[in-house]
Formats: sequence, C-alpha cells, structure tokens
Amino acid sequence: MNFKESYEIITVPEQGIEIIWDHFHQNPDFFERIAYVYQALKSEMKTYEAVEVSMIYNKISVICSLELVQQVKAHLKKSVDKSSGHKIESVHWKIPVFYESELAKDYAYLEEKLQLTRTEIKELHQSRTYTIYGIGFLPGFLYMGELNEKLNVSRKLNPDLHIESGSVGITGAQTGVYTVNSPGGWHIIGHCPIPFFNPSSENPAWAKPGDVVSFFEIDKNTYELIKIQVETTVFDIKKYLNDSI
Amino acid sequence: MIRFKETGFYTSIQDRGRFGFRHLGVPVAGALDQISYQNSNLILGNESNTAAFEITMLGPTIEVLKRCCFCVTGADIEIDLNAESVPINTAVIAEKGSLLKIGRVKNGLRAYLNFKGGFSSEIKLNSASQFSGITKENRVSPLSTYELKEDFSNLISEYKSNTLVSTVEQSELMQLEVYKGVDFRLFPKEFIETLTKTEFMIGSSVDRMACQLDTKSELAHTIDRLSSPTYVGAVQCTPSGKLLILMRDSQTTGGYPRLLQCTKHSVNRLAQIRPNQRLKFVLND
Repeated sequence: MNFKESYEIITVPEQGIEIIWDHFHQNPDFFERIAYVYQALKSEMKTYEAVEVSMIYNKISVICSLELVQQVKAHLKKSVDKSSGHKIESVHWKIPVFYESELAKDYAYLEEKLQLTRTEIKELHQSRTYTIYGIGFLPGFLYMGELNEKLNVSRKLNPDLHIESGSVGITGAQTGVYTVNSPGGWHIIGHCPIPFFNPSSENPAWAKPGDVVSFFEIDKNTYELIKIQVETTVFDIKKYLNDSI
Repeated sequence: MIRFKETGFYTSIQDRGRFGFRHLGVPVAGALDQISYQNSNLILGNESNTAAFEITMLGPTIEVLKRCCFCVTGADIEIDLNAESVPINTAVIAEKGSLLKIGRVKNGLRAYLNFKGGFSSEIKLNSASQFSGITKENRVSPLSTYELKEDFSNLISEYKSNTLVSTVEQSELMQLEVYKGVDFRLFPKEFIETLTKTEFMIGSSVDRMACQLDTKSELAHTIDRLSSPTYVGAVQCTPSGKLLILMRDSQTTGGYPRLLQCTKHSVNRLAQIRPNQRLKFVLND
C-alpha cells in the first residue's frame, strides 16, 4: 500500500482537521513516516500560537482556525512527499521498574490467566523495545507497544478506582505507566520511580511519539535511591538515555 | 483578600484554558461556559483571560477581607451580600468585612464569580485552570484564601450591568446544533435517522469531563478502532449505545468512535444543562 495515497483528510468542524492513515496494521513501516510528518508539521506550525498538532497511532490532529487549513494542508503534502527514507529524530529511553513493589498487585490474576510465573512475566516485559505511538489518556501518559503476545490480557471489566502514579500496567498489546493518580483498567506489574510529567517545567514531558522505550528491573534499594534523587531534584532524565547506560 | 468559609458543591478556578500542551495529553480545561465566563470579564472591565471561580449547583460563602468589586454571571443563582440580595450580571462593590453568600442555582447549572482586577492563584503551563495532576488542587478547598490583585479602596460606584447572550436553556427540550463527527462515515445510514429523531435524556453525570446521555440500544455497534484524538464537543458513541459528549476536562485521546461534533456554542449551552433535561440533535451539513 502506498503511504502517499492511503491517507484521508477529515474536517473537524470549528476545530480543524484530522489526517488518518488507513491500512495501518498491514503496514508496520507507516508509523515511522507518520511520526516524521507529525514532527515536520509541528515544527512548521509552531509560530502560530493557537495551533495544536498532536498524534496517536495512525492519526494526526491539527486544531487550527479555518484560515490556516489550506496552509496546513500544503505543509502536510510537502512532508508526506519527503517522508520516504527520512529518519525521524528518535531517542531510546531505558526505564527502571521495581517489579517487586507492593503496588504491583495483579500478579496472582495474571499468573493464573496467562499460565506464566511472575519471573516469566517480568522477563517478557523487559525483553522488548517498545515504540511510543502517542501521548494521551493522562498528561504525559505514553501509549507503548507491542507487548509479547504471551502477555496479551484484556483490560479489567471493572476498572480500579485508584491507581498510584508510577504504576506500570499492561493490557492487550500495550504497556504504559500511569503518570498521575487515576482510575484505570490496566493490570499493574510494577512501579516506576521516575516522573513522566512535570507541570512545573516548560517542557513537561521528556518523551515524544516515535521514541522507543525498554524497561529494566531494579531492586528496592535502587528504587528508594532514585525516589530520593527525584525528590531532591538531583535526578536527571538524560541518565536514562540508552547510550548513557 | 477573600476567604472561602464554605466552598459550595464544586467550585474551581477557570480561565480561557490551557493551550499548547495537548500533544502531551493535557486537556484544554478552562471555563465550561466560555460565554458567561467572558461576560464576567466584560462587566468588570478585566483583561479577557482573567481567571474566575466556576460555581456548580450550589455556591460558596466568602468573607471579603478587602474592599473589592465583583460580579456573578451564568446560571440564574441566588446572590446575597450581607444578607441582601444583589443582581446577576452586575458589578457590585463589597466593603471590607462583608459576607458574600452565593446560594442555589435556580436555572442552569454553572455560574462564574469574578473580581475586578482578578485574584492571585497558581499558574501552571500558562493557565490558572485547575486540573488534577497539573495544578496542586483540582478545586477550591475550604478556608482557602486568595489575594485580590488590585486595590479598590477608593472606587466609588461601579454599578454596571449588562444585557448579555444567555447560555441557559429556557425551553423544555434543548435543540442542540451538531455537525458530523470524524467517525460519522463508519456508522450505517439508519443511525443518522435514529439520531435526529430520538429524544435523549441527560444522565446523572454532567461533570467537567463529559455529559452523559441515556443509552439507546438502537445505537449499539461493534465499531472498534485504535485510540484516536478527541475534541471538546465530540460526541462519542459507546458499543452499548450510550452517547458521551466530551467537555473541556476530557482526556485528549479516546477509544470510542466520534459520531458527532458539537458547535462551540453548543458546548457552552451544554455547560448549563442539568441531569434529566431532554435534548434533541439538529444536524448541520
């Protein structure tokens, strides 16, 4: 399927436009090109204050005034044309997880449902590098996939009313870390000591769609140490870039 | 300074909203009824993005610790200054030591209490709008105090009133203007007729995230898509046939298909709708 011909531009009345690529599942190479188009559009439109460009999976949303729509469409066409063979700016984050946390309370259910041991679940979760497909649901929440099929479990029928910020969850082919306390239906397998969202910073989130993430296990002492670093602002997220580890 | 003796049912600080962080999953937030909110700034001669208190159902009781000028706009609500009734949509001077008691909403759902010159509050990501996970609190808490930014000890008479566009529904059945939503094309033709012919009832949940309508089994479907962007005023349709109209605190992505899209004015009107009111969609082309 041709990337350039398989998207549709849909008007969102009084809001802007949405660009949707169909046949996304059949074409795994589409995502990187969509992320490229997103980054290009975002940088082209950054001088306009009232424009909001965002993306998730196979869709880019542009909130803008009616007068700007033609200009957005022109930039869109240009960046779609340029997207083949263009490498996106992508960063690999290595994120610590304390899998033995008492907040990871869904192992009993998962061991039974998936017919796997706790160790196997932990290892499978760490065995892959996940793509960030978008940010949403909560401020700074990363939609990440694809999980190993052996970990595929549908979301809870009755969502938990309180999931602690930092909880690492899985559902379907996705994994994610709750960035603030919230209700939620994912199964919790660990706790991450580093913050994903800081509303006091000009750049409140460190990751972006198109970046990749892998997880590594830490013990209780390391977990407590990182938590102290975060509280005392000694913490620097750049330490968790792949090449610094 | 002002002090909240009682906070009312749900009172939060809101302004125009938070822009430029949507791609990081941050909802726009801001006053749900932007028209009534802007009216409060017009009446007081404030800058247009001056934050106000958004009152829901039952208002707060406030001790005025410094002479000030305030107004209330939006829903029809009881306002008593030192046990004397004062009119809505009017700039009123309150002397130091006054007690301002805002009572129950009689018609509509949300009112805006604003002060001339504004009051100090936490600003996060360029907005004062309170939202869980962004600001420290998601609503005004009992006994909290706010510093008024300007001194009006010499202001003489500011009895300024205004005739304004009202967002409060007067008729029994709300006719709500909508457009086709982004995912409209995925639904069968019969849906459209059902949509425009059916009368919906507003459910018990009309919070800042969404306005829920009663479930219609005729609208049940099996459309299952990857998570998509959402828009303020998008009407999502759940597999069981329940419509959810997204308001300004709704998450920026969601899984349910987006069947309709409200006009901006419709969103302001929905901010004033109450549980059990009835609604019909009028589809614009």
